[in-house]
Amino acid sequence: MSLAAAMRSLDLGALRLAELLAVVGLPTTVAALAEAAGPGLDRGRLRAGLAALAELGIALPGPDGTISGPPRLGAPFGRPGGLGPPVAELAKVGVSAERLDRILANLGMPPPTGAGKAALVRAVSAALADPRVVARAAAGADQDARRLLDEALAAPGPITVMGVGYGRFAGYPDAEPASWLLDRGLLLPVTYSQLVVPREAALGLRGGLVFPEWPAPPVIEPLGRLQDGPARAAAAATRAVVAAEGVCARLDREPLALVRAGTVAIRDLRRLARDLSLADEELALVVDLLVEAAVLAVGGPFGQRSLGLRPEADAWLAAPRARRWADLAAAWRAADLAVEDHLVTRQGPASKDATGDRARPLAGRRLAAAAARRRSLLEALTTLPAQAAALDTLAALLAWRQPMAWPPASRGAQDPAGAGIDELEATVRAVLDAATFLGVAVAEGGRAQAGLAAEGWLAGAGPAVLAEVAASVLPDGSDRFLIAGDLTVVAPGGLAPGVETRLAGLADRETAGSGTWRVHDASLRRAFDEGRSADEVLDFLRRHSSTPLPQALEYLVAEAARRHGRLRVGGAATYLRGDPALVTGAVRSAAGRRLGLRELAPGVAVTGRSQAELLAVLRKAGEAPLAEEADGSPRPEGLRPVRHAQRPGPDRLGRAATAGNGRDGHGSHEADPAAAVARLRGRLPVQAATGTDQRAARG
Amino acid sequence: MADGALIVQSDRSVLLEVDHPRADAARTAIAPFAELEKSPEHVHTYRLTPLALWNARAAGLTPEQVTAALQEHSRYPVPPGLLTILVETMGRYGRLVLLADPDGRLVLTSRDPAVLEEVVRARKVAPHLGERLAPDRVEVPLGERGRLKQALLALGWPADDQAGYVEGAPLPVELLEANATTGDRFGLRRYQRESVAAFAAAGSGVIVLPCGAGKTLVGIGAMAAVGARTLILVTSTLAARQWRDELLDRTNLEPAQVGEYSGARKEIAPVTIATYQVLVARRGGRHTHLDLLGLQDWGLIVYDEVHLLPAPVFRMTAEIQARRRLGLTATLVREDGREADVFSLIGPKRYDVPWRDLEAQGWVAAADCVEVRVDLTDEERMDYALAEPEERYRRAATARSKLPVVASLATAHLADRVLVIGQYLDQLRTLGELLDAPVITGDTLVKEREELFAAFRAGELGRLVVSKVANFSIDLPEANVAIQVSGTFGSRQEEAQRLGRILRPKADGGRARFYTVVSRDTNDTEYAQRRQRFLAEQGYAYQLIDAAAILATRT
Repeated sequence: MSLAAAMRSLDLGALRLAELLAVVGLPTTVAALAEAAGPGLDRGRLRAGLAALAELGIALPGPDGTISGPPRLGAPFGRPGGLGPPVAELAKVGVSAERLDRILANLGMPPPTGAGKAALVRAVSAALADPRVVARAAAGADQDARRLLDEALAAPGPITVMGVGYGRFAGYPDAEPASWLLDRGLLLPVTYSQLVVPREAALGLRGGLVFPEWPAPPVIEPLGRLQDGPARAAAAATRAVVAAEGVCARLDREPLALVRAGTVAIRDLRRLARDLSLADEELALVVDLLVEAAVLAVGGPFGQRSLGLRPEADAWLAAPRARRWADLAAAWRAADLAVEDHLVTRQGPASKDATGDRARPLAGRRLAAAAARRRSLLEALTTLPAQAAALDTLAALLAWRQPMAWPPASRGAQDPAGAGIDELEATVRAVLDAATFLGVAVAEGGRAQAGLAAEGWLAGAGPAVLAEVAASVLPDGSDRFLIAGDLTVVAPGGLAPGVETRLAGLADRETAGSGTWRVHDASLRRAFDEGRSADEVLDFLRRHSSTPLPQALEYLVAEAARRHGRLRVGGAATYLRGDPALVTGAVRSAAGRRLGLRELAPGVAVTGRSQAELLAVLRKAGEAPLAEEADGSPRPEGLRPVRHAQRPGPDRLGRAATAGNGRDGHGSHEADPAAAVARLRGRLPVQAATGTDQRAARG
Repeated sequence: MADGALIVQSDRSVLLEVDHPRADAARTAIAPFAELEKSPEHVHTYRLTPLALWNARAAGLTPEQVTAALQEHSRYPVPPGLLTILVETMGRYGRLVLLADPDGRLVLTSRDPAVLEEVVRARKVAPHLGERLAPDRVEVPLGERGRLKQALLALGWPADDQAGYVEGAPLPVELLEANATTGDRFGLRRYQRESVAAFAAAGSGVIVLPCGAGKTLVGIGAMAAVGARTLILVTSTLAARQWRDELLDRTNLEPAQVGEYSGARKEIAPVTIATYQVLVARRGGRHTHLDLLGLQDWGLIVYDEVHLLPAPVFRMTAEIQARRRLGLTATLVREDGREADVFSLIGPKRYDVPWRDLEAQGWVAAADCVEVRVDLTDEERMDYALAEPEERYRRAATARSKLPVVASLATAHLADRVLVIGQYLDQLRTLGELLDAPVITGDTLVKEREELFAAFRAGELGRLVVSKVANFSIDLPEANVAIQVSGTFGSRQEEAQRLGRILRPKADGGRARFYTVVSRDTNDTEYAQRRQRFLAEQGYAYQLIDAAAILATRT
């Protein structure tokens, strides 16, 4: 586990302690740490926090009260404790002895006892570290200076103020207050215009402690369990898996074309969602999960990409329903795709963290914390002492338990309208909604609790194990259905996957996601098209129906089978027609067999070979066949003299047009440009007529 | 909940597994608010339509009761979104109320100012409203009552009409205890009494009863309950005569008190029976007769076969909303989809019984449906293939190959009363000659028709060939075999009516037979499939056989 990942699993108390360690610097001692922590942190919590850190190897306490630990502990925090560099560090780069001198004077401190810059640095450092001195200095700041100081304290790094150090302050409003602060050591330059509050001053302003306040764990109000929790979880899980199956059923034969942005068109999403009676957002979540679960994939050439089933989908669809659910739940556990984002948009005004105001599947963001969030949510729900959590305390609890995984609780700070909702709460609700949708959690009436197979899910159990747990409440649809007299097949509660797939081959769902199917002419035709026979269809229905087959259904199947294939369609390049005896002779001849000539009816045969080939073969055999146009009129073939018309360029065409009467019957130039174009396109009215004349003359 | 008989799906359909041990309880629980969409064997489908939910709300059901009923019998948790929609939809009924205020004005009021504001501003509603009397009430011109209700329904805010009715000129009607002509004792059947009670409680609405269930008696019962002058609207002169006969046989009304207002006669009496046809007849661009009847002081208007109500009658009905209205029908399905107008103008559905229930109780005859597929000769097939598309159905339906099949069927049912029903007159005449049976068409004089029907009822005539005049309201209780040779394309409603001809209970309790002869491989078959689906959905066993099987048994 990387240091960052270890940090992500810490609760807010331990995390603060780790940050304090990073500020204090390792190695250190317990006593030193306790002093730095101040009275806000009681001994018990200090020890508990250290133990938690020790467990992760972040702080290694020795028997003698020393604490050692890994190097670069501060890295995950950026600026541990929100503190800048100490005066000593800053003095190495951009702070001159004169400035230090001036600071001492302005702070009202006596000059240092020793000589040289080092002594000045020590004196300034000591002065700023005294909370009283700093407070006095800060109290003298005017409004602008105070604002700038607050800004610098809140900033994650140095702030930039232009105009300082270059003489005049003209045009830079912050330059003057910055200079005032610089003269009192409340800001010090890192480079020319980069200013930072030195560590000593920052600490001094906090009263000398890195963390003046230590957060306390939120109090969880005990709530009773929802009595019908398991039933709700099972219903949600069923709904989710039925929805996933519905999506697959729809995309099975017709993959969904994607829009250029690589996502599903809003209209398609809407329509599908309506058919499956899901919310758009829920459908987006299902689609993304199915992609993550390797059931769906985007394929097809670029520019016409479409969403369809992967080859693995067949196995998935054939698996028991509980297993299908388990695969979805496991995919949700592992995915770093923030599928919950779809549900954030339901919370009201979009927070800045969401991907947009509309659910767009296949276009989500990947987020390292996504999996950690789900895990921490489920962990919180399963380990609650009261077994159910009020929704409003859940966010506080999660923010305490895993502050690194969740966004900070900021109430619309970035939203100019001030209407933004708490980002933390919105995110928690979205993840909870996703968990509720899948049935791993249950939320109802302001409380939430763990749902189906939540413990196994948390323990990282594989889909097979999850499926086993869920099997009892997610029974496979039955393999029996009822056939009603109006030729509907009713399977309340769903069908076993294998049966359902086969039923789908010969009946259509009345509405997507419902348990009612209708057998009708078109659906039966589809079954026959796929090579099933009437007996197979009836056998299948009889085997799985708990009621005798209505006579009307048997009749309908027989009738549809009778009608099937009464007209046949095939492909051929060339036909041969004429005297039946001659056609049969040609078909039976060695040459006819070689060309694959096939007799369709008396006097009609076809082959896949070209007309020229067939004509040649027949002529060689001593017959006198006549070539036909597609409409049956005789088509004279290459017996007229060949003339190549000169390809007319634009100017030549123009000249030909002005030449006017230079046209003769067999002319190679044509006066009329339209005729020339027609000729070039192969429509040869003049030539064809000529050809017929020639043939007549020959005959 | 875990083993309920219902499966509630989020598309608002509800499946009922019929063989489930608690199926009956579930059916009873949901019947008031779910529309039975189809009822083939094994699984029935109900639908939670807005109209059905409003009907239920009008009958006093609360959303909580509906939710509880669904949850109690549902096998899986009811989709929460569905419950929300359901509660929301039901909550829309009755938010707006039509009232007569103490000054005698008709007002539209609402406790919910936002709703009233919304509808007042709606472009489709505004023309039907008068002055704003107060923030929560708007005056409604008396004549706009019906059109306003239509517009509000279209907007999704059906109004609860509590404005009451005018009583009309009184006319005491009493049901006799025995038939005045035959002397047979009779009484209203339980479902008929319940229908009448349901109607009387509401003042207007529709009663849905299968053909042969005695809708006429329900109408008469309603007249007795209201006790006022009554206008009865029927589909044909023949039906008018049958109503008149029933009224005279079963009530204390004198012949002089019952008038017929049809093409032939124009009598106006305390009880007047008029045909839709004469009402919608125009003279000089005006519906003269519509006005005439609208001016009488009727206390009750009975609409027979309400699903056939022509558009002008809807318009007239919109203007007489202060009078009690009773719609009678076998099916609310209208081929023109104007079910919503029936809801807002005649009234919500007040009572219905599925066909199968009545069949099980022995009130209507059980029926077997058989479709006979006839192979056309090569010549006929060629003729069909070459026909213009609009001519095709006629060619297929009137193919001569059907004739021997019909003859064989008639021969096989020598001992039965056979009706041959068709659409095309040439074909019917040919069949009449072939079977040696009289042909009744629209041209046949009413007197002649009545004589023929009487002979058929008496058993002197075994076979009748009838055109579509027989689709409605001809009482031929003894007919037990119908052979349908051609029809109006795939009309479901026609199929129901034709089947209804033979569903009257038989004296011997025997089953009825309903044959449909169709030409194979033509659009005749396609239309037949559509009708077949309708019958199968109603729960009738449907069988298909080849004509060859019929012809073979002939020898």
